Amino acid sequence: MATAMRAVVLLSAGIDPVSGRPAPVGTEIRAIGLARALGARMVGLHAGPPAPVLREYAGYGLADIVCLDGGEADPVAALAGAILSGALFAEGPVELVLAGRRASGGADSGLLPYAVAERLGWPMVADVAQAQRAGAQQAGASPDLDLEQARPRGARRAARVALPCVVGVHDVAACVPDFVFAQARAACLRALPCGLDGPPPVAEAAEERAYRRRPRLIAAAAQGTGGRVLVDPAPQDAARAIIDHLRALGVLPPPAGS
Amino acid sequence: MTGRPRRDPRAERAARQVGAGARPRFDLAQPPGGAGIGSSGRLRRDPRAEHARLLVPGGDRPRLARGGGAGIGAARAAAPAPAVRVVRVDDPACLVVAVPDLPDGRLDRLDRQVLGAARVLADAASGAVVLLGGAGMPDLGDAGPAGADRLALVDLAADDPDARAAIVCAALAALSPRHVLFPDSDDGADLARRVAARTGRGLMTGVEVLTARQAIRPCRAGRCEQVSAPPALLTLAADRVAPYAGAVREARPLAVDPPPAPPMAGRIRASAPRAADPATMTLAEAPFVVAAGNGVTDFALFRSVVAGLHATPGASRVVCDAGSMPRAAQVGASGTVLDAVCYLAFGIAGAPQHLQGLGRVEHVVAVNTDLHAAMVARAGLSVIADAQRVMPAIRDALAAEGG
Repeated sequence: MATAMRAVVLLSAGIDPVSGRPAPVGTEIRAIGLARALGARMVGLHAGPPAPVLREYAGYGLADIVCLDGGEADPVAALAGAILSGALFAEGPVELVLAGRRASGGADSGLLPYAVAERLGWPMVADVAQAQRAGAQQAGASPDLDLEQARPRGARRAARVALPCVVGVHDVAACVPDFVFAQARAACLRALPCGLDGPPPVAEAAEERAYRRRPRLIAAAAQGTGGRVLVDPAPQDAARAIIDHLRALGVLPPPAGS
Repeated sequence: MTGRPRRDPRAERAARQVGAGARPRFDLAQPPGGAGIGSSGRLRRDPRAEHARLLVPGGDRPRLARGGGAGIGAARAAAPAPAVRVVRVDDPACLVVAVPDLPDGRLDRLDRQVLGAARVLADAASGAVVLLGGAGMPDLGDAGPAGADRLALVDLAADDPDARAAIVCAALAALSPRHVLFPDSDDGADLARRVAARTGRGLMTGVEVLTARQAIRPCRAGRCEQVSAPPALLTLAADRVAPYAGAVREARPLAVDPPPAPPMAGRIRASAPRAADPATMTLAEAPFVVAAGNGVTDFALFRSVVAGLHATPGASRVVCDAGSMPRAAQVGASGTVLDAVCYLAFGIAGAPQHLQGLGRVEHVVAVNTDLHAAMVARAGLSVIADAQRVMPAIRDALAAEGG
């Protein structure tokens, strides 16, 4: 019987893009749901002081949340150090790290999971919509994870990755857990020292100002005056014209015979 | 002395002499200082030629694109004639690398915008744009018109994003460019972040404004924006920078030292993307939508036509209100706004609220009984006929091809 996977969910203290109030980030909620779908034991990990918004994640089924005090100065080193320290699970080392697509309220670059994976030396797979453990495993080999990545236009791409690994969750992942208010109330946020020694890396200061909305380029010029018009053709001619037009546009595959 | 240039009428007349014969002949239409220079020595404007250059082609009323700021129109006006002249940059001061996605081995819209942005940065520093693509791409002939001075093709691993990032890192180390630009699409953003994490350099993601002096990107949940000089690594958001529209560039092949085999290869094994089933795809991301309106009465027939065309079914508000199609299929302001390539409308007149749902659709095909419907004006191909009679013909034609 396979033991439950030990997973860490990286959490950020996000803000709502519309109201600006503290709010959980959607992809991190989906990351909790993905870990639950895998049947994993999970711990939430946040680089920074305990913030009240982290309790919301507990309402989605994350019972144990660890906050790394002072970790916000160098979150990559703090998170990687905590994951490798073995202090998160009594049973063994961490096997899986789950993260959202990008934070909401900070730099929002989406770079942190990649930097953590690079620091840990683990592979990273982004934009995951679905995950399950690989069926057949040889004894001694490290277990694998079968992932499904979301691609544009609803396409999916299957990927297999060896554990331990870092997984980024996509917005289209369907595994959104229910919110339970009592769990959010009962959650305990554990604060751990981040264990960083030495000065934090100096970040180059970028000027920040209020966002100004700018118009996008209009990519496809709408044909205002209309194109070819067939007035009252025979139905067969109309059907042929439409099918040929769709083939010329490339949206309809060519006939099976050709 | 007045300081004005003194005219020499005899010399001017001699300059206009054409041919050498017994009888002197003069081309008096030619201005004295050569083409476009008036007698005062200043450049002479030709209002008629300027008018003709600003004229937007198509349309029954003349429309002028009078340099309306930074837009498509301005870019089009700046490139009047398809010049055959190829611009060469032999000794660039620096290199700007663009790493396009190249889906199906071709430049897509965002790839062209990335090359246009790279062109902006390279022109300011009199540098060259290098397109870094995968070897074995068949259709990179339009790299020159899209603005690439050099074409560096390396063997990119398609199925292992880790190995791909390692190869791109090795190629960048060999080229040592000043800026590297990626598209902010799914694949491009993934590759850019891998490269940034591997090299430890800062990455500016989702840049919305890019000039030679500054780059701006949103941050703090889209409530603030970050302003800085153009960074070394950046990803460009879609539809923010105009594609290059100037003279054709050289796209000279550039040999890059073959990068060594990446040590960590084989940890991720990805397969080729699998297209979604159009019948169950969400309407917002479907590439081809066939919609029914009030002119359709037989919905079993409509569904069979949609299945035959491998399309996603949609509907107008009237049809959804009547319960003939599910509410999730509704297209328009109160339904779904499409991002499709093609939209085929059966019996839809095109109310303004419905046409709002066709925001970014490129090609529209309309089947309608009313020649003056708004949908017919929007469509690239319109069939003025009863949809109930055209649909069986389409179904039969597709069945005849399949059998």
